[in-house]
Amino acid sequence: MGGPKNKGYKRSWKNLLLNKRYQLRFTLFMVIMSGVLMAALGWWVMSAAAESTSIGVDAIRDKRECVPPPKPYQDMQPTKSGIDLNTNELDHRKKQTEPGGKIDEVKVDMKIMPPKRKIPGADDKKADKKAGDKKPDDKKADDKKAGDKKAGDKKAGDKKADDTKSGDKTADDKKADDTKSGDKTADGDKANSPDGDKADDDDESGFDNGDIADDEAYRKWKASRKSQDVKVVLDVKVHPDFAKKAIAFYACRLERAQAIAGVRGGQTTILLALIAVGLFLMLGLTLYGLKMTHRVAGPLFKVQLYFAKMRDEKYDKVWNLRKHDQLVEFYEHFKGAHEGVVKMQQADIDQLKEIIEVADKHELASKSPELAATLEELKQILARKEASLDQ
Amino acid sequence: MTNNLPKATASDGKKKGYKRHFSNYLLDKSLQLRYIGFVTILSLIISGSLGYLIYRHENHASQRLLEQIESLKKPPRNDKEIQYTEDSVGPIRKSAIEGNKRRDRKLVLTMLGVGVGLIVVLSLYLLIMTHKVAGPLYKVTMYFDKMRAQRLGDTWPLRKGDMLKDFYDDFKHTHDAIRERHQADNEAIGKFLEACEAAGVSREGELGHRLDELETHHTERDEALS
Repeated sequence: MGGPKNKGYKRSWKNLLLNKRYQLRFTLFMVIMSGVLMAALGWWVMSAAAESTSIGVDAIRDKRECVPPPKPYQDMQPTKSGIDLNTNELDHRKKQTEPGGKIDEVKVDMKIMPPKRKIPGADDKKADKKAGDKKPDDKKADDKKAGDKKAGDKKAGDKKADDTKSGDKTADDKKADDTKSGDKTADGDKANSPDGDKADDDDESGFDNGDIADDEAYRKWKASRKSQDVKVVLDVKVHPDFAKKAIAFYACRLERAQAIAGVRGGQTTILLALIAVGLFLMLGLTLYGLKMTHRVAGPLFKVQLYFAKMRDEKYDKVWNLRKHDQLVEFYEHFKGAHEGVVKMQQADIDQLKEIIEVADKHELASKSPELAATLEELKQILARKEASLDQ
Repeated sequence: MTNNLPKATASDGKKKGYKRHFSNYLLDKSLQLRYIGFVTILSLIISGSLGYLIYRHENHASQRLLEQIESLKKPPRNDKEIQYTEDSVGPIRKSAIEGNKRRDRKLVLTMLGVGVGLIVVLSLYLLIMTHKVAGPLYKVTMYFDKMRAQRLGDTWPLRKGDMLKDFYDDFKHTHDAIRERHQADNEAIGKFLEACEAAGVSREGELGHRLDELETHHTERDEALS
């Protein structure tokens, strides 16, 4: 203001906070009120949005029900190698014809009955019982007996079936396993069954106690067991429109997921938008509030500067407020007050000037020392008052 | 600032204590209404825009619900679904439409109620809040007017809860300083007049006229400072 080049006063951001108590109180009230309003209504908006989203998702799910493709189904086709499966007690524990079945669920139980052999000293009934003269379909009985007997031909059959079930093994491996199991079973026969004992005894001693023809048949059967091989071919049949329908199904699922994600994304967008708007609003309000209250605090600050001068008996010229300042009317009142005080000062000066002039003219100071002292005091007051207006 | 307000009761014999009147709350219209208007309009904008969002979502949900009801009439896509006829869907739709209307109307009324309530409460609160600023300013304005009339009487403190206390204290110090200075100056003039009288200075002629003028000035200033 006092520089040689008076560029005009520019508001500075540093000086924005002039009256902290007043400005912060009003600004914070606005900001907090807006924040509370935004939070409360924002919560309401989000509740409505959540409800709308939920209904929207339900509607999408309902509208876009995706028809799943027909399931491929498996048809098990057992074939044989070295054995006629149609006649030799191949039991499909479960023939999988239902769609969607798994290969692991297919179990094949083979029951291969050895040719009957006569054992001397044993009656037919007993022999039938011990040799497992059973019906091929009597699976449960087989299982039970297999557990009890721990040996016998059935066990060999089970073993084979298990081998078949494993599926992963190659034919060679299978053969090897079969052979192994066959040997093992044979040993088991020897160990457990009375017949087996006998056979072993025969083998070891070379003495044949039974019917030679039967033994021959038995050996043949034993030999044939080793070469038995069972293959299970799982023929997967697929619906002619499977590929088309599968593509349509997954495309539909994808589209539905995208639509649901879109609806849910809308809710997230609303939340983010609310937060962003809320923060932006609060920041904007803080700045605007400070600026707005500054337009009130500014004139008050200016008046306070004049107050300080008036206290020091300096009656400067009072300048106008800046553009956009508030409290213009209040400031005009202040100007009036300042003017009034200056007038009082001026009136005092006028009176003092006149009386001092007349007193000097009539040499009043010589009339009494008291009068001289008070006159001197008046002169000092006059000088001080004149100085106060010469700013 | 309006000047048609009751004057301070400092000189009253029976001091009843100043009571705020509702009609006196709006002291500085431009200051108070500006702030009240700004905050109220801001609140209205926030409430209005968010209220519209709420309404839109509710409306959207209602529409979706109606669409779902309409879709019941479509032929079933599998054995689990039931074929609804117009006769069976009609009452459901009617009930849903009525329910939606009722809910939407309730929502609009609630929002309007909240909005109006908010504006009323906010305006009243802001009126009181701004009055606590406008009050001290008004009081200072009255003192300013007295100073303009060259009267420097006593000053009284602000009421409890008033704002701008620092500003008012500053004004009071200034006012008191000017008053004390003038009182001191006036006392010096009084002493001079007494000394003249004691010295037997003649009250005739130009000197006497000036002394009479000075005495009148001294008396007037005494009255102005009391």
